[in-house]
Amino acid sequence: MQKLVLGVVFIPLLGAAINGLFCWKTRRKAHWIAVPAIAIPAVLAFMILLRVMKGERFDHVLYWWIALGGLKIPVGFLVDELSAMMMSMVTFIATWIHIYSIGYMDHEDDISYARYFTYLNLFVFFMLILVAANNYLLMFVGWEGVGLCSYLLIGYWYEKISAANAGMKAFITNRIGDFGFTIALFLIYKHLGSLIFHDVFALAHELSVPLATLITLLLFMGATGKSAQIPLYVWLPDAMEGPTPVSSLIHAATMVTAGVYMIARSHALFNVAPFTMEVVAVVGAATAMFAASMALVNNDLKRVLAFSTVSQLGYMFVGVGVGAYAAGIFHLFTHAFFKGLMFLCAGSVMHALHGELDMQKMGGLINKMKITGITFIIGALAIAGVPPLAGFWSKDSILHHAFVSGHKVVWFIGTVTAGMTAFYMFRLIFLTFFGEPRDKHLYEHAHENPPVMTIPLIVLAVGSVLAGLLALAPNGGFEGFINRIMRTAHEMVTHGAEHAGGHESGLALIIISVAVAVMGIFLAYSMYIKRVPDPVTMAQRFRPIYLVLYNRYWVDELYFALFINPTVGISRHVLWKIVDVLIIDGIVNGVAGLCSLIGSVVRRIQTGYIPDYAWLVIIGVVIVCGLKILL
Amino acid sequence: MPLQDAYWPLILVALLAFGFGAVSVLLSSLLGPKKPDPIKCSPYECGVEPVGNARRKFFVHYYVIAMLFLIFDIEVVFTYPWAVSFKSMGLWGYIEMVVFIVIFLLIYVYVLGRGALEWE
Amino acid sequence: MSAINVPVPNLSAIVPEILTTVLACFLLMFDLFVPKDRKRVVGIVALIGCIFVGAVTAKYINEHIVTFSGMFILDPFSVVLKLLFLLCDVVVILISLRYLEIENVSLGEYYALLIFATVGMMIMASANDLIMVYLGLETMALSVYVLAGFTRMTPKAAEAALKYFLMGVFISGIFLYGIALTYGVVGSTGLPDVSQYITLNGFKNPVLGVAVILIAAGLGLEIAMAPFHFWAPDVYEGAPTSVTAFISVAPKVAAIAALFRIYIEAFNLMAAYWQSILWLVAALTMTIGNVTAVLQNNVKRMLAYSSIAHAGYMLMGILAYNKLGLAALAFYFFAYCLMNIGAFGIVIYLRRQNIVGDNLEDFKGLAQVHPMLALVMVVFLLSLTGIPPTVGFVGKFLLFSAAVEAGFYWLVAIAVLNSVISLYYYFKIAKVMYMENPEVDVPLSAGMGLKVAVFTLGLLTFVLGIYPHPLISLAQRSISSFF
Repeated sequence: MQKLVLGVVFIPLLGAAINGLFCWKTRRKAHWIAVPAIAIPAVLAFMILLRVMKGERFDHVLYWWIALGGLKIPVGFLVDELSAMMMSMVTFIATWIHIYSIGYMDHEDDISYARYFTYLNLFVFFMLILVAANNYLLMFVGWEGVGLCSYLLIGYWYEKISAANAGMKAFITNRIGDFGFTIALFLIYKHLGSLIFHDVFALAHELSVPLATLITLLLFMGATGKSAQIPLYVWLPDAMEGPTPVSSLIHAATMVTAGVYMIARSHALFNVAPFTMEVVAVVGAATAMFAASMALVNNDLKRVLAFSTVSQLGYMFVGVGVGAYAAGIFHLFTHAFFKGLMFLCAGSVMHALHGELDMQKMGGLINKMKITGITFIIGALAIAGVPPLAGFWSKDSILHHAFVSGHKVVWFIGTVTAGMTAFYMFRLIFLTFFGEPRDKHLYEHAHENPPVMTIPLIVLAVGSVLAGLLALAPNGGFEGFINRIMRTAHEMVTHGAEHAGGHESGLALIIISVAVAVMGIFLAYSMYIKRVPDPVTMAQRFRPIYLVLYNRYWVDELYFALFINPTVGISRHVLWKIVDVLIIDGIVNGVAGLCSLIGSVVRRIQTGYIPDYAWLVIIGVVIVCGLKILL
Repeated sequence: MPLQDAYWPLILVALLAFGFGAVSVLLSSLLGPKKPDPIKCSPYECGVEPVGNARRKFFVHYYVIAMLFLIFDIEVVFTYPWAVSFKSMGLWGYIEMVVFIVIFLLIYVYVLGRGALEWE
Repeated sequence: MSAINVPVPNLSAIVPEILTTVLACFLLMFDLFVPKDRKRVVGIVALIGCIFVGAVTAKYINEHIVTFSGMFILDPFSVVLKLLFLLCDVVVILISLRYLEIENVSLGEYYALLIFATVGMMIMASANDLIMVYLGLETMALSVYVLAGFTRMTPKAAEAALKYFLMGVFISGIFLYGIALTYGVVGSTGLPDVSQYITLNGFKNPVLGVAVILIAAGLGLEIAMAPFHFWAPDVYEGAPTSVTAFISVAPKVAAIAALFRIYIEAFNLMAAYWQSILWLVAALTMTIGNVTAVLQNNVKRMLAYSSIAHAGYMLMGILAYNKLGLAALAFYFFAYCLMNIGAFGIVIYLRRQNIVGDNLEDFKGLAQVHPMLALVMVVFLLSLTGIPPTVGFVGKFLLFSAAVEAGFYWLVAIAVLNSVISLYYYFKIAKVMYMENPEVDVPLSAGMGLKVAVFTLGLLTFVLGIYPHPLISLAQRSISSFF
């Protein structure tokens, strides 16, 4: 077991080291090292997962990293149901994205090509450290490491100033979240005397509720940074400046879900702090809705997906927030497949259209790009929650748990958001792949990509179809598997479920959410396919047919107007310009501005004249003495 | 010995010192030839012009020489008490002083080697 | 006539100091016989000498000797510090060898002064008496003033040296005043005597309180703690880069170590009192350092402010006043030495022809011109920011943990917030290195010594971040005589 774990974690590092140190030699062949450096761990991780399924666990200290007096922190790895699942998922998705990258990055010059794979391998290494660590500090190492790699990869195309700035923004926003995380670590150490998961969780119930609330809120603050939740989500849409496979791996499938993983891992702490749980659920729901609403009006292919990621992460937080950790993790798992897939499809479209991202200029691409189109549709169906695809099972599980645990409002928001999700995803599909090509020139040059890019699409599409079926596996399925380590939380939720009437309401909930999803898709279809030739006549022609959805049409028209002339769109203005640019950016910039202001004041004192300095010294001493004598 | 008796030698030395000074100044003014010229009339025959703006550049060598003088002067100051209590300090005191003087020797060699005593 | 009885002190306690002094004197003599264009040889001799002295010093690591009538103490803590100073010397000599030639000031005195400064710092580390601290402080300071103005033909360096000197003399007065007040109350300047006096008589006397502040102020200049830090950016920017690397690390460490020993050995019973002062000072120091650094475009100046901030972090170690804190402090000394001298080493690396290498622009596109160098710089920057897996992270983590253990929650919150701010300016450098294209086409030309120094430091910064055990056990051993 130990060899397997070490292999999984360190082989990617080896790959990064080889490519990093010898990029002069490897150049165009870098992927011959990088891909096996992920594929082998993927196989090993799967072997670990099989063993864990049989009931094996592993908590091993490799060596004592920091050992000083009572402070003992190991470099050690914990393999249980949760981390084994995460390791398998990360390495599996990463393998296919690495393969995809071979095709996607073929325009790069040789050195950059090797550099890209170095960063990517390094990222996987840190991600594995994050999920496999057996203590908070080592987890923090991975946590910071993935942030660093994300910074490097977002700014990969640094010729674009926006890319370099986006990298910086991501890194700094993350650090703001890390502030909370770090303080939480110190508090945990101070009050529980250890940072090793095993010890911390064994003692967690001894924490007083206010203290546990404080610690978990601070941890959650770290999670909002890494997982792009309100109010720290701003970096994720900008992070789309990076290469698309990076968006797929880091900003959809793996790194951004680290916050959810961390909370699920710390479930013992969160269970002691019901207030924090409420906060997590509410913030998650709010983010889900808020981000989805922004995705409704965006024309940028990748940004729609980015907002969608933020929104889906919100779902995961709803899941863990209502105590259904396993459901949250299940959504994390399925989301990795379908969102990773959709980003790769978007990359495929981009690659075919020479970097074009504006959906307004696309259309009809299904004729040119069959595989990309079909796999994209599978991904969209999965995220929309159409049974029996992956998203249906996990999203429904979250909504079910939210409902039965008494979070009716959260459930309602989640359900509405599900409809919105279905709508904007299919709006994206219809605009991109169907209808008349709006830019003939682009359309003419479009072509399907080579197999090195399409095969990963097919694999992930199959995953998006099948991953959800794990819910039906024996012994409680996927969630049952995860719940083996979260017995308390699980019992709490099932207990609540029985109170709320359990499974009868379950079926009703499923019907509602599926209906909502189908409505969303249908709405998108009617708006973006049937509108031809003229939007106004189209709108009039639809009204008599879909009377039931009449009011929806009013909203549709509003959005339609926004879509044609975005500058007059209230939604766009209110949601994007005012809230995001003014308030959120304002806060972030305000902090920077405040620093500059203080800095310039301090600099004014820095006159460069010795007599001034001498006076300041005297004044300083006198003030301190005065204070101490008087007080 | 009563306290006031102990001061007698001191007073004697003071008287001698003042007397010597007074007599030599008096004698030189009586016996010396008097041929005044502008340089002789200035308070210091060599060195810096005492009248005028004090803010002007000095030849840095003045300071170097002055500092070296001070350092070696201090060496002498330290050797006096050592010489007085030479016997009671014994071998250990002797070795210490040798080390001290060797350090000054090194300084002297260094100063010579650097050419700090050459006057261009 | 009364006899002066001089007891023969235990000389084995000052063997490192004696050897270092001999080395410095030897270098001065040796220099006379080395032709002008081959002064590098003096540096190499100094290097070998330092390593030799270090090897001898290391043998004393388990000793505990008090000598010179209790004024001087050789304990593991002082030995570890002495080793650190010698390490600083070795690294600084390595990065200076070629740099001095480029700056056209390749003189043998440079190395001798460096070693003389080391003697002073060694005395500070071992001082068990306030007068002894002062002696060491002045020995060190006088050498360092000269070093700061070593490129005396550049007005900036001359200005730096003069400023440093004037401020130093001024603060020396304050420090002496603190010593005098202590002596006035206690009747002795020995640290154990002060402690004993306070044990017997309490610390109600306000004069003693003032003395505690004045002593901190006197050492605060070298520590560059607020509000005594104003000289630091001007001096660090003006002084030759290799000297900046030295004075931003070694004297600071020496002064913190002296402050540490004075507070813990002499004023241990007044802990609550000086903790309340240091709390404020530490918070102020780190905040001023970091916030001001954000605005700088000159890397040397930026690193100057950052080193002020690091002084603030280090003060937390004294402040915590527990086993963990002191060990963390000792650990951080080494971590700080590695990463800070390393970062300055990179600035020197960029010194070529008419480029000073300290402008942010000079770092543009370094990742393309010299990827390894850029990588090493990133390691230093990560370490300075305190991001794992680097030695700076481990150091900061230990310091902050110690402060938390002692109950200084708010200070830790301020410190963590400060490291968030620090990311911004450190990564300004990383950003121009990795995300901009090079502007000038002048090839880098580093000497062997600089290469060895920078890459070794980079490697150590990284490796000791992953496996800090050797350094931790060294730190633990160094404080064994206190707890």
